[in-house]
Amino acid sequence: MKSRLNSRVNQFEKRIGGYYHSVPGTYEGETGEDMQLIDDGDTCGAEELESLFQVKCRIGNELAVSLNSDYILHLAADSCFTRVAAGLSNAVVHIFDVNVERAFQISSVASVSTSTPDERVGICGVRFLDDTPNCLLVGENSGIIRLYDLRTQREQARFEENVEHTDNFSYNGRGSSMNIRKAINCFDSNSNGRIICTGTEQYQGDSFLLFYDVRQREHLGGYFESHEDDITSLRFHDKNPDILCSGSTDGLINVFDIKEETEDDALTATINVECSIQKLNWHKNIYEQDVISCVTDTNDFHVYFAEEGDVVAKFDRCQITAAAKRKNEDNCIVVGAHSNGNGDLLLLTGTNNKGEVLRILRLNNNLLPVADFIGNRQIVRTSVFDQKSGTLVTGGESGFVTLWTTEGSRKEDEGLTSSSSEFKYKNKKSKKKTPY
Amino acid sequence: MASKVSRDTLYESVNAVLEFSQKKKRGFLETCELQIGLKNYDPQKDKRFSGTVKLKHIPRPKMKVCILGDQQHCDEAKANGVECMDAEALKKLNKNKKLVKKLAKSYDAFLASESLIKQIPRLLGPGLNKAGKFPGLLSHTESMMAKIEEVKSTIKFQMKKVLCLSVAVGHVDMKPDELVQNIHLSINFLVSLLKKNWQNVRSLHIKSSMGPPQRLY
Repeated sequence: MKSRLNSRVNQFEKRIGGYYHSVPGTYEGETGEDMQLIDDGDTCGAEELESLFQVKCRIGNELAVSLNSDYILHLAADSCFTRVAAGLSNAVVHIFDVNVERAFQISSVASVSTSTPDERVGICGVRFLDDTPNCLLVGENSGIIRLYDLRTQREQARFEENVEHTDNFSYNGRGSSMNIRKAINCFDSNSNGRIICTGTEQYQGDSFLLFYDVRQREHLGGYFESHEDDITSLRFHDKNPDILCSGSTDGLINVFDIKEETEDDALTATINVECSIQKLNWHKNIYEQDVISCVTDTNDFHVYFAEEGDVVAKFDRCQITAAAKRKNEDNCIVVGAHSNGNGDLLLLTGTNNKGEVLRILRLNNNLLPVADFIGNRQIVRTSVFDQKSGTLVTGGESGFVTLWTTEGSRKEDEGLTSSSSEFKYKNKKSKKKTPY
Repeated sequence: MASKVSRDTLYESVNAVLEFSQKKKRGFLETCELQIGLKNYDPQKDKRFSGTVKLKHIPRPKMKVCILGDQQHCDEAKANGVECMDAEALKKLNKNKKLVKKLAKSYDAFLASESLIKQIPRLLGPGLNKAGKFPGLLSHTESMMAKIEEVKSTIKFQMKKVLCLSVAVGHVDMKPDELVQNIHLSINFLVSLLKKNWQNVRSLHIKSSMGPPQRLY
């Protein structure tokens, strides 16, 4: 330990010159340019990298949503992957049409702004309500979920806690203290589009899961005993409309069966991740069992069986960094996991700095290299993946919505999908220098 | 990653903190905490800054851990003088909210055997979840005592809406070396989670519960 300390001190003295330049204060893109990049690199040469990551993904199309330094924090696609909604950090939602067959056109269709600029209301998620690409749910941090009809471009309905009537619900007689709408971090709608659930921040010692009936437009009630801290991720099961999993800063994943009358009976499993949770997702393994993938705030990746909570796999940041063939684990980030439809789990990882590296690893006892994304130029924060066409759309901190296409040789089973597709690389914009 | 706090500064500050607490003994064991101020960080849009760190030396020696074990784990716990409960004892609580709450209050942490951990929502309801004390998993392949040490030496940190946070990294009865190692470990871990590592750190301080803060960075 001590010798490590010493060597770090030496390195520190060598590098100290460059460090003190960063300008304190404003948090805008400009200061980012002056900042020194974190030392990082690939652990193997370019040739080896090429042979390991068989699938090469290139930018099929890319659109910048904003000239300011607004991040794209949420992406959602409709069930047929014809439309993608992107929620920005400045509370604007952009809608894009995606045409997978015709050379991956993405075109901006509409944008909705949920609040006036002076109110700083953030968006906590976007989601298409049903199978059509017309009904979009937008969640605001303030606790309101709005339903937009994209045909009329108007707000159709609004779901919020009915603060006057909360006393009627059995919150252990706490009704009197509940006159303020609770801030929410996440929401989801179930597979039949009838129920919306929101996850609140800790509020007077309690964290709530609040349920709304979509068709009746009313607040149904909530759970408040299963989490101790801010609820950060909520996912309904893709097929079963009654199954819900929630993740929280307290490090627990809870699985609920919302058919049950009371919270006690609804809670079917609790999984202790022992670290605060960032993102959850449902998947099916090759035996058609439900598994839940979990990305933690410390950039670890865990997979559990939904029913019993047994561990399927656990990888810490260091292992993920090694699997992605990168040197510096302090620079590695985990974006999220997707299913490829064959029972395989694909893990999307990237780097901080300017975020030039973006790779997909496949879970198979170990993490195996699959795809390398060439030309990425932002820190990716969110992604949506279409199993049928193997299309990935990413959004991130530079405000680009990027649609990726695959090319080149690859083994069938290691590809993103089973159907092969080849598309030409189109460079639409003048590009900044990239390391490739 | 190069640390930006030199070893000398670290020792100097730690000694100053310890010296102050020696001079004026308090009626309780003072905790040492590490305080971090951040910059160029927007809690609205940057990732949440929270998680757990495992330290080298136990920062909270008084922590009480209870084993919710199967037969084998209960026997092992009794042999080691660790408090334990089996499934039967949990069933007796009968999902009674008050009793579960009482159980949660009487310990700082729980560990449970694999067979038992799955039954806990059914046996106890969400009471332990609510208290933030849902047990960690204790498997038969790892040593119970080592796992208890691990639980005791793991600390949680979480930044809420303000750009600073503090974590308890030790107490004033620790040796300077131990404290320095814990602080060093926490600093490196926390900084590694920041997007731009050291460039997001505005300041670092250490202080004991009652003493003045010492600036590290």
